[in-house]
Amino acid sequence: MSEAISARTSRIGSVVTHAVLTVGAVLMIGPFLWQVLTALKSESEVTNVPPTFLPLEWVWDNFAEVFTSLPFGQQLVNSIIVAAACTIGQLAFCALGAYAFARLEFPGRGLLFALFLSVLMIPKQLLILPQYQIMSWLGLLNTLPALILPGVFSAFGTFLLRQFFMTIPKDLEEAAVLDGAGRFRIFYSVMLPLVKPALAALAVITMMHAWNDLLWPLVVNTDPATMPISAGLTSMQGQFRTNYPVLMAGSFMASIPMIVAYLALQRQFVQGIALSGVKG
Amino acid sequence: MTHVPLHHPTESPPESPPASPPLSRRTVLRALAALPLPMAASAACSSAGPAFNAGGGRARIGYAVWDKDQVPAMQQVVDEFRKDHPDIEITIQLTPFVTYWTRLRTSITGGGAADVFWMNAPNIQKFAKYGTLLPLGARLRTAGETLADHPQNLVRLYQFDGEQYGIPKDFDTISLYYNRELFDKAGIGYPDETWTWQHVVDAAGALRDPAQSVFGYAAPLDRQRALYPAIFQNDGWVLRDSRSGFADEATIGGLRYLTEMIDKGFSPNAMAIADTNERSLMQSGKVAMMTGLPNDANALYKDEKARARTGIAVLPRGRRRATVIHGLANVVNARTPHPDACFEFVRFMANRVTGEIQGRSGTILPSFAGTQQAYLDSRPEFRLQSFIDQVPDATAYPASVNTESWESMQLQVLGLSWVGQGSRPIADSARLLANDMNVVLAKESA
Amino acid sequence: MTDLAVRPAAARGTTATSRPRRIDRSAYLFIAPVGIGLGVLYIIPAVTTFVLSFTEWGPFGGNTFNGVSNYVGIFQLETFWTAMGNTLLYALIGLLTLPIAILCAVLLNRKGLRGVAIYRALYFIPFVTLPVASGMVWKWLYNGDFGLINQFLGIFGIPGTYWVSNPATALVAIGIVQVWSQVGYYLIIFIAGVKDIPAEYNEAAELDGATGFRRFWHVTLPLLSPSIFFCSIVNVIATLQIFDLIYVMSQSGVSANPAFNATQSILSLFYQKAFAEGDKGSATALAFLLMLVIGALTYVQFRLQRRWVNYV
Repeated sequence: MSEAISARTSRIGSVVTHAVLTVGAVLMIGPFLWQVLTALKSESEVTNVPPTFLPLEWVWDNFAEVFTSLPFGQQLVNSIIVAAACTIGQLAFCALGAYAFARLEFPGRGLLFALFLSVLMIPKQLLILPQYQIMSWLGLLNTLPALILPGVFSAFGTFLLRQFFMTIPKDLEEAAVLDGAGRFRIFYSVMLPLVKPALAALAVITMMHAWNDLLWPLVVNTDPATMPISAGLTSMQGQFRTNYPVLMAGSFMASIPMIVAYLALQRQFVQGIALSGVKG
Repeated sequence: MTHVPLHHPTESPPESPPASPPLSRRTVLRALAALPLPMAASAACSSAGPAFNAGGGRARIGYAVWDKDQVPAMQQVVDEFRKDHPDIEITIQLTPFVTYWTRLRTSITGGGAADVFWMNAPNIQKFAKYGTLLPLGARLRTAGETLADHPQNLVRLYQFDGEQYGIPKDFDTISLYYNRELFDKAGIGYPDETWTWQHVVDAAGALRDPAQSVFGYAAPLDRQRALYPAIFQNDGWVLRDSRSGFADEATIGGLRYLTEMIDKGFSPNAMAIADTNERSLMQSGKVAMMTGLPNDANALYKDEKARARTGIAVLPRGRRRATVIHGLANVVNARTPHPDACFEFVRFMANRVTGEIQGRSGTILPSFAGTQQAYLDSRPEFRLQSFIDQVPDATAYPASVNTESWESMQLQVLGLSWVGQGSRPIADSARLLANDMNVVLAKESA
Repeated sequence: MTDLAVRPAAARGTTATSRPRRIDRSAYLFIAPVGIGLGVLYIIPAVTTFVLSFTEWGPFGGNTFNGVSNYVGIFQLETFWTAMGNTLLYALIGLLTLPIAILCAVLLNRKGLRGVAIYRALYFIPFVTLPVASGMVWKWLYNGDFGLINQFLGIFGIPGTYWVSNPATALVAIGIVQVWSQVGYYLIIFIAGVKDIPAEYNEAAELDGATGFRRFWHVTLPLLSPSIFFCSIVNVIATLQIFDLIYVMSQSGVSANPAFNATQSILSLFYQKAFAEGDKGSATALAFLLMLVIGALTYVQFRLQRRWVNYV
């Protein structure tokens, strides 16, 4: 095989590769482009056949309409609060539990850990009705804590962080013990910093799940003022039925925060995925 | 935490059933509520003081509604009411229709439900049967309130087991909306009260323009806007003595008015309407005729182009002239701590002043006779009188205790006959539906 | 990044050779927050669900024991079997995600390819997009009269349909969106998997003259099988719980979609039963059955893995 031929096949191969990948990229991103273009058209323009590509008349009002028809701003804030609270809570609680399971010796550890693992097997939808009942007893329906509470406790997060704590050499910890540091000090100042990348990755996955969740918010928070943006959008769909420009404007704005978060924290997202790969 | 407490801050109701309540302030209030009414009423009239609350504070009432457009009018009603009752505070709680019922049911179970709320026909009997609503009959009689100024079939809709539970606030019938421009272009005269279904079919055929993807008529799978009026026009029936009317030939004939429109290609089928509903199609000029509620005028009116070309007429005549009448009612939560204050409020809303405020707002057709003029004047370009003209010919919206369960069947079973050529014959679907519906109805009366 | 390269080893830890450790009861304090939360909000509800699936729920609260009649009722329900079949179909369609992701991963792993980071970022965006929002966009793309897809097909004279309202196409149409939204996730796992293949294997294959497809088939694929196995489990379990897209594309805001039943999944049926029809007894029974199905499938996959997974 001569060098020239090899170089040519590789060049052709590279062109073909780019072609395939570009078609793929268009398929992945195209819908968003169309979403934005539709959001800027009038309701009658989107029923033009054949369709116009660029809006004939740029209707920015569709975006304003989203805010007047829904407490959209409030719902965005709700989503941000819920995502942040779930993330912080889950990191804190899971890290504490994970550390104990990984490093401390105590009666009943095996049994408790098995219980935790069994929670991993339960699909969360199974729990919706009783969880809903609990929220109702606590008087938390239509409040943000109802959205946050179940997301704060995670068997998966505990399991994941435990695996990481277990990889940390014991010497580091023992040195701290010799220095006379208390358990919590050791956990907080020695161990926690060592699993930072895992924490960041878990944070990103948790945040995304909290942001995207639909079924639970639909069930517990039926009051628009306390809905997160996911549930709010579906109620907007109920309201506008087939007014696609307004629906597109709303759905576009609702997906922006997470996409921005992803673009800013790409590495953590990718690690989060790789980590949940470890789960299996 | 930025939790927005929309509920009025009463403590949550006791978990125990009303049968054996713990001795609490609530019990005392309930006992007070049972006092001879004239006393309570006269007390209410004589003093603007703490008549409604034994504790001496103000009565705080939550009023749950689902239509955002009507909130300003409702607030005006509240303000008007409070002029005479400054001791009663009323907070309007808006929940969109999609989640309204879930929220209401769960808040009645779990606590924190509104004291007064909107009710509709499909839900009234279930709510009444389970004792969640305050019976109003005795109070109405004592107050000398006869509700004679509201359409009587509407008043009866809110009775259960001989007891009145709701007081109508508004009503709707169905009228024919049409696109004048398309009629002019086709050289066809506008629909009017002389039209029969045959006129509609002929016009729809002439108006159909596949090149412009314009349909002559829209026959959606929508029970209130399309199915029920058509059924009643053909002397059919939906529900009688806990039996389904869908197997009746007259009912099937009524449905056939609609499916034939689809089979002939004059109307978009159910798939097309699920993608883009007939009201959007009407607004963008893709449909020449559709049947709709008074509220459907709102969007058409807001759109200037649509406003200029939209006409409204009474429904065409089938075997007879018919439409369906429905309306919302105000009901009182059985577990409210302020039953007297709530009753005063719903009673106020049964009267002329409320009717006039609603009418003036142009958002809803009030049910109080003679208060509709303001509504008609709010949109002079549209002939909204059509909705009122049809009241004498209207049949009440059919409902039972478990209305929702057989209503959801209708759409699923009939859907297969709504897809145009090659779909299941409507007679087959209707008979299947009748069977399924009878199973539910039998369980209900058992 | 480097820290993550340390793969957690489940086998280490308790059997480590270090001296016996002191019992430390402060562990309970560490575990208490998450332990109590999981107990109250997960373990107790799981038991309650099971118990309540044998009761009838009153529309305004109150449960009465009714034996197995919720289960009997569900088995007699035609829509249950439809939903079950649909759910399995969704899972099957969802598995298409894997070959697509593998193909892209292999292409992205070509030596000297430029713009890998950009491609990867773009492919991943659908995965981080709010599913409700994706559903709305696709519903609009699928619109029978004004949707971009039909307009595009029209150019080639291909007649379109009402993709999400036609009972014959709606399930597949929604399944495709599911695939679209998930590709990015699996792509990332497979990129890592392909990178992890030791260079010697590829060099050996090259010496044997195996190139292109043959190398992919005989070297890449077998060595990727642990990732494939993991991904197929995650994928099936995820699609069995499909709800958001169905809810947005064929149920909410649609008065009467002829494809309503044809797209129903177990979970959307659960939602309909519990919250639209108020039949929470049947809903809990359904949820429990769903758990059994998921458990069974996970088990089957674990059994199958022995036959075709090569652990490196």
